[in-house]
Amino acid sequence: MKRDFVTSELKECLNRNSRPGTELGKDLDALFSTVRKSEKLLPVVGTQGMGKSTLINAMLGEDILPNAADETTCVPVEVAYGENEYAEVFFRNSVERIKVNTKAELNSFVDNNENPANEKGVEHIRLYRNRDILKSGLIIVDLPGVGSITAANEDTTKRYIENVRCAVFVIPTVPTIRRREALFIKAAWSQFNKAIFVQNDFGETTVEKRDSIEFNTMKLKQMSQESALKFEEPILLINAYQALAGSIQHKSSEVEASGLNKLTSKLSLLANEWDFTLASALRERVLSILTLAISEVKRKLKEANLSEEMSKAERKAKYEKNKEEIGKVVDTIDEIASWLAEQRITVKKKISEAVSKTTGKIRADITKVINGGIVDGRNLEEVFSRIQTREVEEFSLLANDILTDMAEEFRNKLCDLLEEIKLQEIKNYEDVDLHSEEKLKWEKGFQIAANIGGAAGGALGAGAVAAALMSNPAGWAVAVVGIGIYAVASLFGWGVKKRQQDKRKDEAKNVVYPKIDEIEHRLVDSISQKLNEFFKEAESQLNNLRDQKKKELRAMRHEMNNPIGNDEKPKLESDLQILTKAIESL
Amino acid sequence: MFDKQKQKLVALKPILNAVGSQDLWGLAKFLYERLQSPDSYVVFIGETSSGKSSIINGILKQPLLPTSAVPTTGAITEIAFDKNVKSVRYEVLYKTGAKTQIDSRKEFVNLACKPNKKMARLRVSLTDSGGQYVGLRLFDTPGYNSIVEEHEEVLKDFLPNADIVVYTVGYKIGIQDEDYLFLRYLRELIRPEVPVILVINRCPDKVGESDVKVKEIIRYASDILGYNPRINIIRQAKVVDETIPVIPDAADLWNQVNAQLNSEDRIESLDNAFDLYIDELFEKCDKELKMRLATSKMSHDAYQAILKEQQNTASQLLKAIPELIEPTFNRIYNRLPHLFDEVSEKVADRVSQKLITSSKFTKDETVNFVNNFFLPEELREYTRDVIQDYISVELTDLNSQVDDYINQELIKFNNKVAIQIETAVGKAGEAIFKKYAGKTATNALGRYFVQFGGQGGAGAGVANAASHLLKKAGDLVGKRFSRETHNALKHYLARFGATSMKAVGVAVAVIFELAFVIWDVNTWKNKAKKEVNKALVEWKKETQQQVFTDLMKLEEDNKQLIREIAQETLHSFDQEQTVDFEIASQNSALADEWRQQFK
Repeated sequence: MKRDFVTSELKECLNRNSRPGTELGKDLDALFSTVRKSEKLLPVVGTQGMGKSTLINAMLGEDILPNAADETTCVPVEVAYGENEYAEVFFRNSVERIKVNTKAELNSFVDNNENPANEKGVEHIRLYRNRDILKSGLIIVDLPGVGSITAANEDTTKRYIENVRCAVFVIPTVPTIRRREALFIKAAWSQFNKAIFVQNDFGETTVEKRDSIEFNTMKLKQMSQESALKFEEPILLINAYQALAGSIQHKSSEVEASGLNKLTSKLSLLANEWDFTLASALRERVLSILTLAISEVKRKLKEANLSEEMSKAERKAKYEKNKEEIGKVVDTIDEIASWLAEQRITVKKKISEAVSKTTGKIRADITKVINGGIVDGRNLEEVFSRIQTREVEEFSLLANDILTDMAEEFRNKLCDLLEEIKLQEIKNYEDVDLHSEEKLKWEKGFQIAANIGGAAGGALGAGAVAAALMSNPAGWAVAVVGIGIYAVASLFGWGVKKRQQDKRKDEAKNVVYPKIDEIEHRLVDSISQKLNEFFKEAESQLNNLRDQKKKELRAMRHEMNNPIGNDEKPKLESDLQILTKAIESL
Repeated sequence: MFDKQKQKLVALKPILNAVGSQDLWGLAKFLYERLQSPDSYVVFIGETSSGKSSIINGILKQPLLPTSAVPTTGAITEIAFDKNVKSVRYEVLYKTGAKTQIDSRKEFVNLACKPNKKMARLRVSLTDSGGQYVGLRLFDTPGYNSIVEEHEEVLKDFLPNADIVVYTVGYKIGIQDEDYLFLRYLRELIRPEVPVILVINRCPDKVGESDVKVKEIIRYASDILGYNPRINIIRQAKVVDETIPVIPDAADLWNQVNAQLNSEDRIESLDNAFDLYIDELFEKCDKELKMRLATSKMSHDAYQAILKEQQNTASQLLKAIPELIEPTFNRIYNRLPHLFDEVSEKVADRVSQKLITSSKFTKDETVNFVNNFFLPEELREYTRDVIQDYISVELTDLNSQVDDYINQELIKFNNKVAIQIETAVGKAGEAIFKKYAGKTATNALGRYFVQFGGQGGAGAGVANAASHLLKKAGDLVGKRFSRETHNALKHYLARFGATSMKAVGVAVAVIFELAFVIWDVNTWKNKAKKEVNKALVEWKKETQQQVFTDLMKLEEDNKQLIREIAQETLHSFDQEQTVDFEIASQNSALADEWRQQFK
């Protein structure tokens, strides 16, 4: 669909036939201008030591990323198609870009040993390679390991979270998915929405592999149910080393045997689909806009025909009926709004209780340990870190449940509301299938229409609210994990002094307890922030909806007193023509 | 108290008559009894050294329970109040459900300190001429170690039924490792609405809640419990006469306990519980009557056909046991030993690594670290990851399989019957049927009944009215993934974790303490490693057994669930067809009236 589709004639026609409070022509304009050529970013994620760098190297057929056993990548590395092969380094706090050509130069930015804690301030690195797999426009991204999709790197990873449709998750065969990993997967998965799971074959036995895939499949299925995510089987089993070796040595039989081709074909399908899906999403939005306008035109025509025959009294009765029905809709909206207000308090309370319990547990366990005589700096640090991580993980699972429950309930209420609106409008409008639940399923990564928000009429308005929902609240709990892990940082500087045991116990407690209070505050603050964002957005969308319905009612009243005359018909008919032609040209 | 409920129940009489089921009558009578004297359970927990038993004596204002410096309570002792008792009666209740009276106090004291294995508990009945303690039952429990050895099963059954838990800690010693484990355990086992009173015993005269030590105890206990308990401070009693055992002043505590028992919240939850039981009873009756009405005009043949379907469906449902439940559990049983081996190997490895990397001059610190933190923590993590999560995945999957299967069968049955009814009786009948079909009623009242020991069974049973309202796992009204099931399972597994903790606590602490003294700088690492391995073997044995026991119980529970559903299906329609439409109509109307009036 081209930009020139949006002619000024069409725009004016749309604006003329927008429901009160909306400007469809403007929306159409906005729609086209916000459709960016979004990049096809494909992150590859996985916890430490899963061999994801090896997998990516295998996909590229080149040993480009550092793949030592311990996690060395500390910045995201993107690989895109380019006939000339080079790399560019992007920095966080400047527009400067550095070009690098050799692996050694690259390592100086990428390798944790050479750029410890990313002190060089790299934001990301893009490599250009002349590879078939990349020709489709796919940009493969190697994201740093666990914790990357978390508060610590939130800024860096935001760009991936907002624009990514799908991610590849690398999971191990042995051991099967464990609790800590499950948490990470859940959190990341909820951000990306669509996931391809790859199990790295490190040479285990056939039986081990089979059992492992069976178990992991069961586990992922359950995780997907718990978080309302979609799990697409099967898990792909790939021997990345074999694939890489085969690629480098040009032995296609090896590559075939490794299973890599299953992944590459899936990815090329994805890439093809991508543009197609983007185009059809756009098309659908345009269709919605046009349909809205047409339904308005048709309604007005119907009015024009009827008003000749209807008496003033009949017109008034009709208006009163509409008023009543719209009143019901507004009542329902009010109910939902007050339910939301209640939830705001309830959820905050639940979360705050959960935080309290969590910090209580941390404190109890640490106390027990300190009472047992463990007061040495290093040991205590390890103890503190582990206890804290463990409990905060538990907490984030719980927080996730609380928020997901609320979001689900909200979504159900919205669906019911939309049904009601449908019933109400059907009396006045034809073609009101816009309010179907289908419209609520907005594909992640296509934020275009969501950016329009409530402006474009009832249908899209409610949809936009739901779209806000669809950015899964599970993602919020993710921030929590990050905070917990990083809260440990500066626990000790007090040194290990030789004193009486008991006094040291008290000293240890005096250092540790305030840290725990700090954790409590951070947990509450970060979740509160996200919660407030959500409620604010939800409230504002509901208000939009309510406003619209009120405006609609006012317009109906105006029409009751100033019925559409026959003289307006020709213009309406010609508008209908313009719109119908526009739809046909889609 | 509960007059409204009594009224409701009495009003059910004519309906129960109309239904004419012995079982339902039994349940009704049981419920009525409980309404007359609803039981309150106050459970006292704490280490033997904490002085629990003296506190109870303080509450009763008499030296009833044996106390002494040496750990005394080895048995669970119930104190009940009976207006038929003249002064005091001693009884032994056995695990089989039998009970015998004890003749002398001497024998009672003996058994209290050294119980025999067949005993479930001792019971002392005190006189209650004023009738003010009706339904009140106090339970004194043994200390932690004793429980671990003998009574854990009982406690696991007990605690979920408690209305109040009084946890006693001695001021001087404070919260020990056993208390930590106990409190964590408690956290998992008691119902969330049950209040805990933390008693700090033998406090010196000027010491109050602002005392540093007291504050620490309170803080620690609250953190472990995850909840702020009510506090009660009991003073060190003055020794008046060397020959008379000391009885502390516990009047304040008693007031607190009573206030809790009579609190609005508690009364409300009992109110709700009883309402729900009565409703459950009613619904069962109503369903029965409606089914009769719906089928009263059916031909004999058609009715027989329904009975046959009913039979088929029931047997189909039972198949879930051998086809779904047993295979899954068997699979788990087979896998578990490997998993336990894996855990113990991995942990042994990790500890080994830790020992290797520590300097040989840090013996005390390292041993302490491993003993107090590293070993239990690693065990906890691996247990959770390897064993707990595995079981969770298997059981959750089983759950949804069983849900699906049962739903399927019930829907098939319902459809077949609906057709029959519509053919014979018409749409009206079908509408009635549709309303009641497929609604598998809960069986909370039945469970309460059984746990209590049936009607008049205040014998061995300890069953709290409020504790049987848990919806059964696998809510069967067409829900797909039920968050409740998910949580029920999580709860079960959390308790499983509590067991493991305990086993670790016992196994590890003992071994390391003994070994401490004799090791020297050069050989301690190897010795430590050996001790750890020993501890792990011990852990494995203990825990594996416990887990198997728990799982087998869970399996039996699941099977029982299926049997109940099959039973219920089998009784959807009586063997004898009701053919008198008039009477069926009248009876059905009776039920409608009751519903109007009371719901």
